[in-house]
Parts: sequence; structure tokens; C-alpha cells
Amino acid sequence: MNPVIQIKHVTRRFGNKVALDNISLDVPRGCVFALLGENGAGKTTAIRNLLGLDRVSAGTIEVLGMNPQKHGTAVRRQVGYVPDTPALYDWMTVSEAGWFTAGFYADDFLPNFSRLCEQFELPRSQKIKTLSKGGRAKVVLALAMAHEPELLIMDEPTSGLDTLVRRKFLESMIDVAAAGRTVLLSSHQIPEVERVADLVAIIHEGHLMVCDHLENLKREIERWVVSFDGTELNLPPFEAEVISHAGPQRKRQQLIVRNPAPDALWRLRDHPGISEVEVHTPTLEEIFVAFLSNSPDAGGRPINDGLRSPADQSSGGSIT
Amino acid sequence: MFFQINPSNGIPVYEQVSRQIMFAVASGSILPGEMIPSVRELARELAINPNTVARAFRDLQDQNILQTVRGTGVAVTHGARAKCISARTRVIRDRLRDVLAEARQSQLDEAELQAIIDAEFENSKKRKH
Amino acid sequence: MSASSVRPKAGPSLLPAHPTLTSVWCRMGWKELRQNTPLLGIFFAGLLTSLAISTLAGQLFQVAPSDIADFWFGTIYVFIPVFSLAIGVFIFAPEKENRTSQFLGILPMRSGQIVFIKLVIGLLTVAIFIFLGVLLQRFGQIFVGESSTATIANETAAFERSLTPSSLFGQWQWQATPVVSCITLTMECYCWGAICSLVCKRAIFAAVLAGTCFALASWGFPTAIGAALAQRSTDGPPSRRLFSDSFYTIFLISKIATYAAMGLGLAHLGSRWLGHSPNNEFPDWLGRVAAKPRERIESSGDTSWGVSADRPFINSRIYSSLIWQSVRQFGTTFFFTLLGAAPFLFGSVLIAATVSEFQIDHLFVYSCLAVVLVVIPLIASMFVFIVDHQDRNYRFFQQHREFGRKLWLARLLPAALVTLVCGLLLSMGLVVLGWQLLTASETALVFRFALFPAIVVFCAFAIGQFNSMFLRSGVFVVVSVIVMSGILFAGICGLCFLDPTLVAFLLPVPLAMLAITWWRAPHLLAESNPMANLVLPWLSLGIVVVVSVTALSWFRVASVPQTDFSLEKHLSSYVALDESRNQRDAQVNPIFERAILLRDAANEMVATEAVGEAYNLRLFTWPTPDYARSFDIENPAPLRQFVSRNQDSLKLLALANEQPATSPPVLDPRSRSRRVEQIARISLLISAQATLAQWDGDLERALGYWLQLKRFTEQYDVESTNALLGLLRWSEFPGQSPEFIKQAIKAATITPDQWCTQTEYLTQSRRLDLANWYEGLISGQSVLDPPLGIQFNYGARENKKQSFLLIPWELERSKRWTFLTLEELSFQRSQRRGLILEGSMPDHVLNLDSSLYDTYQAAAVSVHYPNHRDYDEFFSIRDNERWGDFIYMLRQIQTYHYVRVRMALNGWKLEYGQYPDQLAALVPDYFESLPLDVLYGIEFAYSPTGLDNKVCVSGSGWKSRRGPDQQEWEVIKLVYESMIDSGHPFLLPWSMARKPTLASCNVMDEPNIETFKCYDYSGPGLSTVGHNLQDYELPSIDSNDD
Repeated sequence: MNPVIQIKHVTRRFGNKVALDNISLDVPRGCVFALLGENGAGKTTAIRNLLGLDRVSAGTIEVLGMNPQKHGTAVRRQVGYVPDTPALYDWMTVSEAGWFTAGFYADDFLPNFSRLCEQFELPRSQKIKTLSKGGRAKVVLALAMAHEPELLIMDEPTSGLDTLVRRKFLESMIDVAAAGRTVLLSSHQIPEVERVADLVAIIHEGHLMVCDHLENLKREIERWVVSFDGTELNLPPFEAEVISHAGPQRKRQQLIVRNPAPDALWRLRDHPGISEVEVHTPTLEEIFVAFLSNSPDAGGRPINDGLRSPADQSSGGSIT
Repeated sequence: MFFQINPSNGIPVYEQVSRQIMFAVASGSILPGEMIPSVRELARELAINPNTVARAFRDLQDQNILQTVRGTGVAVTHGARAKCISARTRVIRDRLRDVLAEARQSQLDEAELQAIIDAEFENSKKRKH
Repeated sequence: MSASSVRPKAGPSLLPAHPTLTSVWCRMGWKELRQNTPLLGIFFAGLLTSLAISTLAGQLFQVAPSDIADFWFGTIYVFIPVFSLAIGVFIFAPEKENRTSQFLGILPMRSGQIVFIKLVIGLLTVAIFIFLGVLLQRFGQIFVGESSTATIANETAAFERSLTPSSLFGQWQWQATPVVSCITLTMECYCWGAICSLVCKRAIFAAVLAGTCFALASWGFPTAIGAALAQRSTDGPPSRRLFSDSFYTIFLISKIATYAAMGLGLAHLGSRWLGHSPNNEFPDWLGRVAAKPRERIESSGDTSWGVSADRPFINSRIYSSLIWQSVRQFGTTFFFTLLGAAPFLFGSVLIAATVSEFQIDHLFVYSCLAVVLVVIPLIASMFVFIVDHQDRNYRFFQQHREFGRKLWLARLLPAALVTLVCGLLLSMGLVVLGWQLLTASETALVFRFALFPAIVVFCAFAIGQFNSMFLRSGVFVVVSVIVMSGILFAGICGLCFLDPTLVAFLLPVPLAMLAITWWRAPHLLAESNPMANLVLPWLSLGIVVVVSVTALSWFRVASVPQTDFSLEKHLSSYVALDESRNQRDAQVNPIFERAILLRDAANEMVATEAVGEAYNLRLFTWPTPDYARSFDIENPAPLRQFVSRNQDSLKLLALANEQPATSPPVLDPRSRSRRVEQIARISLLISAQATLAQWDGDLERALGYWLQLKRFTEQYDVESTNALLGLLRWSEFPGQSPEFIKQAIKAATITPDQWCTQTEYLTQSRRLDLANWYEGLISGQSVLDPPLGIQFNYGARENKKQSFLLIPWELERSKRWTFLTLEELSFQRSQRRGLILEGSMPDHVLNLDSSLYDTYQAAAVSVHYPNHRDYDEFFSIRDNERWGDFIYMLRQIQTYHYVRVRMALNGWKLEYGQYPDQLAALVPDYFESLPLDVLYGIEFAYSPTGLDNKVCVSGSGWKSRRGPDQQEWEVIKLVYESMIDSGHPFLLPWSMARKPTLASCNVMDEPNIETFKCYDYSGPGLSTVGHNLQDYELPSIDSNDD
């Protein structure tokens, strides 16, 4: 199956500032794709380019088989978008907003919108300016989902919202994914992402640091805490991809490593001067921070090739 | 079904789901032949990715603990309970093994360890009642 | 994946159906109209408010209905483009401000399509205004007694005839037809508004920028270039003449270019609008620059800000930070201030630099600069609080509650400085101008006038800051500022010319504006109660305005001497009668006649155009027997009561008579308008007394009263021709005697100071200049030596066919008139007029003065003068503003001469039983020297037995509905029918028209006709005499060009 989104070597510059630097990734159909990155990393720019609201300086983009730069209208017809800080016409009521937007889509927009409003418990005749922040967010979500888009793009949808509303958003995302459609989510709420994401991409200063299935990341990445007991505070070489190294030249050092060789851990443990190496499974937040501390300008290694498929499709597996 | 999923504790989420379904079957909360919520419903309830739930179901189906009932959904197979009970036992044993390994590493005395185990055992009996 | 779904869904290969176009248009239309409804509401509210205020003011100051109507039309014509500009701005800028353009950007529609739909819907709204404007242009006169739109059409005609640049400005504005101009003006404003709102993020920036673009690109440049070209076409030898067609070409080209540029701009900007990357928006850097000052305040803050109890109000650290922030914030927006004022600045500089070339009066230059220097503080003060509103900077300041008034002061400071500078420049400019125009004795005037700019500028400042504080949206602020400043400035200027002391009643309003903003500033900052912050200020302002206006009216009304109300009511019903369109009926109505007499004295006669015509007819109409009978008052009792009830005014009059003539202190010294009213009342009284005396048979006493009225009105600079009318009627009264008449003629003298100047500000030096001419005229000389002949170059302009007719002056000097036959009696300007020299038709045209030139629109009319010195001197004043005064003076003098001659004729008739054969007979007995026509120095046209044929007289200056000339011909026909049939003499001065135009003297080509006919009338009966051109010696013509 063709991926829903294909981004190939996309660069976007604003004057001297480079917002996206040679990014390539694919979003397969039917998954929940999470885009993580700090503020200003380039996530919103990437999303706007996907919708045809911005122009790339280099590279190609394909969304649902169409080029959004050329066929933005057709793309937007099949994509639902929940922007960060959404803007609505405050003087409209909820139902008026739905009616207005329905004019631009197909006929079953309004019934879907009504159903979604009921689901979200939105008062239909209340003016948008009197709604709370959560209410507004729900309206925007309802408008984005009412035309049953193939791809739902959400740009930090739950920032600043209360728990109940966030829960509603999560449920909607899950509904969309369960219906076989794709969700692209850009968020700061990493615990949420950890629950629902299939794939995770981390963007840092315009560079794509990693793009992989969450499973793979969790399986392959480990957090090691190394305790030294002597005066020798240097780490011996070992075979593993070190994503981040915290506290060099100290008695306790933390390493985030990926795909360590089977004996790398024992080598370290056996090394004189190292009293102990604790192994933990990192949370997604720790993984995220680790990748971000690895600034590409400081010699880190961003990833430019496509994602890898999950390693154990055939797991079936034992429960251990 | 009121499972509790913690995505950050190191255990893969799909495995947590499978385990909790199995434990529920093992303890008799879900009876054989009973229908389990669909992937979508369970995913919504737990607020996790439906693919994850689907994977858990697949695993359980492969172990013949769950089966698809055409037209209705997924149900617990008959005879699953025994498997679940043994699986649960295995899980507990694995956990104990890990704890013991850790206790060994922390150079705990065997006697001390035994004392702790006994004390905790007594406490758990009290809590049960 | 074996996920189970609740519902079946369409496969990914099926595309969703496209929305129908109607559904999109329907939605967008609904949304646009809902969004723009407040603006439309403001439009109509503001319009109605200004119309109501103007009507009220008109009632208060007894302004003529036609003037009020002119103001209405003027207001609407200003509102229409302004509001179409506002609608253009409202289309895009508020979406950007509220960021709802992001919402539209997400929808599956191309940006260009959405923009197109918005533009069309906005256009439909604008079409309402265009329709309104066109309706007014075509049918506005239905609502008003007099046709002000016909006035405009006439003005257009007059503009087109003269080629001075200042008239070209007006010409441009009205173009070929007013309807076209209304449409193009509105459309251009709308398009500029739309373009600038696509460019700018804030509505107020867009509004100011759009106004600038409109003024410069659509209005200023084509006009300036066209005027320059047109000026070239009037200077220089004919071979280099570009002719005024070039103006139209330039104008058309520039218009097309402008429209093309606007269309392209809209298309380009519109297609990129919704897809625009936010970082590249136009004034985003402005937002960032404006945001920086906040950081500094935050960083310079310390805990002492929070303590309010023991801190004095003046805390220099806080102030320095606040003022610094205000200046930074203001500085960026002031850039737009200057941008908005740029067209006026530019235009003024251009004009000032080329003042010698355009021969434009200094006053005009000053006016342009004045507009600039008033607009700048207006715009500057508009920006005072707008940025805070739109950026919600109040949240930042709310942490420190004591900031309210300090912030207010700091925000006002930069704008106040700008206002101060502009006010000083304006006042200085006026003083400088005044030194040029005025003599030393009038320095008091100078300083009084220097106060006006200060007041106006202060008002501008107050209005701007008030609106910017209490209105949130930028465009509302702009519109509201325009409305309020229009009202306030009109009030101030109008009141100033009427009566400067009344300005004191208006000053509380701007002061109240400042006070209200001072009062509400802390509440606004705290955002405590939005409704209160919206309602309370406007309510307070409304209260202040109502109180001021009430005080004004009470003050004005209180000390005007009361007159008998019953008679006034009587009069007003006559007035109603009087203003009927059908003057034929009105002529023979005796009640009407009486009313006219009394109203003459009350100076109300000249208030309306219709009555003005009747007035002129009365003056130059010999009374028919019916007419004379109708003059008798049947019952003088109301008059007696009127006189007896108004003894106070009579006492006032007695006092007035004892005062020296130069100063009118006995009448109310405070208010000129009230003086005028008092004068009117007193005039009414005097004429009532005169009428009563006549009725009582005491003609000598009546003469005394008429002369008293004449002196009184002259002394107080009011039109005195009504007194002359009274004298005329007196001289025709039964029981008259020649001795009285001779007495009257001697007493009816005029001196240089005594002719009316009409406006108080006509300065002494200008009077003295005209007095130079005056001396000669009074003694019987004419302005010019008699011309040698009048040559008509006629023919349609289009085919440039020129025919010539030379009428030797000797014919005219010998009191034989030349009658020219016309092929067509239609005087429509646009039709070709041919002059047929053959054929005998019963209607003749008496050409009395050069006003015929107007009606024929001759390409050139040459008047050949033998004496160039006089000619040069005379024409040197033609092209400046003194021309109007000069003509007015001539008319006054002419009227005096006419009245005296007619009185003399009446006296002669009394003595000898019939009218004299020639006017010269009057000389030793009645005159030392016979009064001659002021302009040409020839005797009046006179025939003792009238004319036995219908005479058609053309004279310019009479207004009509259907066209400038046709109606007047019919009216005049009426007049002279009565004159001709009644057996009364025919007496008419040559230069009778109110606005005689003199032709410029052009090079005359060889006449190419050989024979012409003219009809001589030298006695009863009409004979046709043919003349050959060769029979007359033509003067040499080589040295007669400019």
C-alpha cells in the first residue's frame, strides 16, 4: 500500500533561517504517526506544507497521492486539520459554524457534525466566543472530522486543555485509527503520545533525528546508569549506538543507548572502575530528551532514510 | 474492562493488555464463552492505539485463549482458563526470579531474604482478610 | 489488521463529492453580510446623526433650506466613498486581525476563489451606496425646493468653460456626468480599501493606506498632470495649444492604468492570501517592534511598582519607562500617520512650488497646508490606544493597578506633541499669510484667526484619542473619527464665520472628550466592565453635547428682540406660497406681492433661489395695472399692530441712528448672527412704517422711511436693494409728485463705503482696490470705453466651423438694437446652434450683453477695444477672486442707476403726462448727467411705448430645472410679455446679468461672410434692414490679442 504521506528531501528556508533541513519520511496508511519536537523545531511548518499552505524550498511532498503545493484544494478536501491555536469566527454559534463549513464539503458533513457535537457534548446554539477553551477545541475537532477525512492532522491539539477534553481528543484519534484512517499528531503531551502512537518521528532544529515504530524504539533503546568507584572516570569503548551521554567525567553517568551488542553491557560491568551498570527501559519522554540533547550542530547524527518496519511482525510470541 | 495500562513501565503495551486479559480470565472475572469488547472499544477505553490492542488480541488468539465469533466479535475460548492460570503462574514465577536475582546482586544474606519473604507473606495473608 | 469498525466506510479510492458552487456562495454571502452588518449600521447611524444635527443647526441658525439641502448632499457624497473604502478594508483586514483567515485557509477552496467571492459580495454592498448616490444625483432635487444638483451641473458647465487649473480640479471630480463620477469614486475607494487590507494586517493601517493611495494615485496625480497640461494649453500662442481635450486623454489613460493595476494587484494578492506564510506578512515586523518595549518595561520593573500608598503620582521611573514605550509604539504607527497625510502634503508642496505657474492664490495654498496639518494630529491621535486594544496589552499592565492614568498620560504625550507642533505651524502660517493680505489696522483679525487653527487642531486631537480609546476595531475608529470631526469642524467653521464667540459653546466638547478618557482610563485598563466601558463614555459625551447645544440655542435666542408672532405666522404662510414652483400664479397673487414686499425688508428674499428670481423680476418689471392694484394693501391693521408692538426695536433704531456709521455697537456686540437678525427685524419694521405712511397718503414721510431703510441697511452692510425696490414702488404710488421724486433721486446717492460686501472678512485693502474703480463708475464713466464692435464666432465646437458676425457698435450706440434670428430656439448647450441670417420669424433675440456668449457657447467672442490700457487693467483682475466682488459691485451700481432713471421717468410722466422720447430728456431736471451702463458706457435700452413684439432676452444667472437656458428663456418671455403689452416703457440696462462674462480677446481671423441681416428697431414697428459688411469700416485688428 502506498504511504499516505511521503516527504522526500524537503527543505524550507525563511530568509537565513532553515526551518526544515532535508527531511524525508513516510507515513503509512492506517497508523497513528506522532511528530515530536520542541517549540520552533519545524513541526508546524512541516504540517502547513502538507496542507499546501506553505511552499517548500526544496524537495517533494505527496499527500494521498497528490502534491499539496499544486493540488492543495483537493488535498484539503480529504484531510482534516486541527491547527494549534485555532481561529474561529467568534460571533458564530456552534451550529452556524458547522453549517458554514458544510458548504465547502460534501453533503453528509452536517449530520456527521451533529453527531460529533453530541458526542462531545457541545451546546449547539451557544456562540463560540462564550465557549471555554476546551469547548472551542472540541468545535475545531468536530469540524475537522465531520467530513470523514482519510487523514487527520492534529497540531498540538490538546495544549492547555483539561483532562476530560484531552480524553475526548484521544478517543477521537483512536476512532479514526480504528476505522483504518491515518492520524498525524504533533504534540507535547508525550505520555499521551506514548499511549496511542504507532510511529514516532522526532524533529530537532529542522532535522529529523529519528523516525521509527514506537515499539522498536522501546525495544531497542535502553537507559544505562553507570556508577564509577575509582578515579578513572572515562568510559571504555563498547559496541552500541549512544544517543546521549549525561554527566561525563562524573561518578554516576547516564547513557541512552540503542541496539547494544549482546555483550556490551557485560563488558561494561566487568570493566574495572565501574562498580555497577543499571539498565532501565526508558520512557518515551526520556528517549525524546535524549535525542534532543544530541544537537545536530554538535556532531549528532540525524537520520535521513525512511522508517524501518517493526522488527517482529511475526511475534505471536511468548509472554515473557 | 478497567485494565490499567502504564506505557512507561518498560513492559510493551500490547503485552500488558494480553497479560491483564489473561489474568482476568484466570481469576474468573471473564468467563469462557464471554464476549470481550471490540478492538475499538477497548482501545477507546484504555486510550491506547487500536493496533496495540489488535496485536494483543492476535497474540491471545494464537494462544487459543480468544477466538473470533463471526458477526459478533471476540470471545474467550472454552478451556482458556487453565492456560491462563498456568500463564499467570509463569508470570509470577518470572517476577520472583527477577526479584531474587536482584536480591542476590544486592548481596542480601539468604537468611535476611528468607525473613523478608516470610514477613511479607504474613502481611499479605492479613491483607487478604 | 482485523479491526472491526462500527460503520462501513467508503474506500480510500472514492473521492468525496465536490461542493456545489451555490452552497459556497450562499455560505460566504451569509458570513460576509453578518460580519459587515455592524459597519452598515454605523453608516446609517452616522449619516442620520449628521443629517439630524445639520437640520437642527439649520433651524437654529435659520439657514436656508437649500443650503441645508446642499449640506445633506455634500455629506452623503462624502459618506459614500468613505464607507465603500471602509467596506473594502473590512473585507480582509479584520480576518487577518482575528486570524480567522487561518480558518478559511483550511477549507478546500483556492485562495483566489474565496477572495473573489468576498470581493463580489462586498461589491454588492457597495452597489447599495452607488445606487443611493446615483439616485441623489438624478433626482435629488425632488426632495428639496431648489435644485442643488442643477447647481452642480451649472457649476460643471461653468468650470468647463474656464480653463484655470483650480476649476479643473473640480472638473475632474465631476467628469462628464455626475453619475459616472459617483460610480467611479465609490468603486475606486472600494478597490483601494480591498487591496490595502490584503496587504496590511491591521484594519486601521489598511484604512489609512487606502485613503492615501486613493488620494494620490486615483485623484492627485491625474489631476496634477492634467492641470499642468491644461495650463499649457491656455498659455502661449495658439499654435502650441494642446486644447483641453488633452486633459481628458490623460485622465482617461490614467484611469485605465489605475484600474488595470488594481485588478492585477487584487488578483495576485488574493491568490496568495490564504496560503501566505505568517512570517512574511507585511507589517509583522511592526508587531515585533511594538512588542519589544514590553520587554524593557518588564525588565526595568521592580517591586516598588506594586506599592501605591506612599508613592507620589509623579514617579519618574515609571513615567520614563511608560513614555519610552509609548514613543516606541507610537513611532511605528506614526509612520502610517505621515503616509496618510502624504497626499495632502505632496499636493500642497506641489502647488506651492508651482504657485506662480498656476497663479493660485496663497489662500488656496494655505488651505492645503491647513488640511495637512489638521489631518496629521487626527491620525496621530487615532493611533494612541488602538495598538493596546488590539494587542491586548492591558493584560500586561493589569498587574499594576496604579497605571491607569499614568498610562493614559504617557500614551497621549507623543500625539499631543505632534498636535502642538502642527497647531503652531498652522497658526504661524496663517499669521504669515495674514501679513501679506491684511493691512496693519487689522492685526486684531490676524490674531483672532490664529486662534482657529489651534482650536481645530485641538479638537482633532481630542476626537482621535477619544475614539481610539473607546472603540476596538480600527476601521470603526477611522469612520467614527471622520464623522465626528466632520461635524465638529463644520460646526466650528460655520459658527466662526457667523459669530466667533459661539465657539466657546463648542469647546466643552473636546475638553469633555479628554476628561472622559482620563476618567475611564483606569477602568478600561482593569477591563472591569466592558459594557460600562462602552456605554458610559459615549453617554457622557452625548450629555455634554446636548448641554452645549442647549446652552448655545438659549444664549442665541434669548437676546434677539422679539417680534410680533402673529405677523410672522402670517408671513410664513406667504413664504409657503412663495416657494411654489409655479411663478406664473405667484405673480398675480396680491397676497404674495405684499408678502414679498415685507420679506424684502426682512432680508429673507434672497434666501431661496426661487424667490430670488421673482425678486429680480420685480425689480426690472414695469407694473401692470393689475400689478399696481395688487400692490395696495387692503387692510393695514396687522401692520399697525406690528409696529406698535415692537417699540423696543424702534428705540433701538433711534439709538442706532445716533451712532457713528463705522461701528455698530448698539446692536448686539457679541454675535454677528444676532446682529443680522436684529437688522432684519428692524428692516421689517422700517418698511412696515413706510408702507403705512404710503397707505396713509403721507408720501414725504414714506420717502423718509425708505431713505432711512436705505441708510440703515447700507450702514450695517446688508443688501440695500430692497430699499431701492421700496423707493421704486414709492415713486409709482398714486398721489406722487415730481418734486418728491426729484428729492428722492438726489437723496439716493451712493458712496464708496456703502455698497455691500456681503462677507465680513473682506478686508479693507480689497475694498480700497475696488473703490479705485468705483470712483469713476459713480461719476458716470464706464469701466471700459465703448467697444468697437462685437464679433460672434459661433458654430458647433465639434466641427470647428466658424462663422462670424460682426455687429458694429455704432448700431448699438445709436440705441438701435440688433436682433438676431435664430434657427433653433433651443438653448441646450450640447446642441449645435446655428445662426441663420435669413428668414423672418416672429421671435427675436435681443442681445443686451455678452451673456449671449454663454448660451451660444461661442468658441470665442471678441470684443475689440481701442484703448488697451483700460483693457489690460480690467482684465488683470479677471482671473482672481476679486472678480466676483467686482461684478457684484457693478451690479449694485447698475441697480442704483436703474432705479434712479426709472424714478425719473415716473416723475416725468407725472409732469408731462407721458414718458419722454429719449432718456437724454431727463438730464437737466432730474440728473446732472445721465447714468450710463456701467460696463459699456452706453445709455440704457429704452423705449417709451414698450415693445410691440415678444422679446426674448437671454441673461445668464437664472437657474432652472431642465437645463441652464431653456427655462430661463420661457421665464423671460413671460416677463416681457407683460411689459410689452401694457404700454409701459421698456427700460433695461445693458449689463443686467448677475454674472456678465467678458470674453477674452483673441486673434480674429478674417470674417468670411459677406452679408448679414439685422433688424433695427427704432420706433414702433419693425423693419428689416440688410447690411453689407463692406458698408462698415472695420477697425484694425492686428494688435488686439493677448
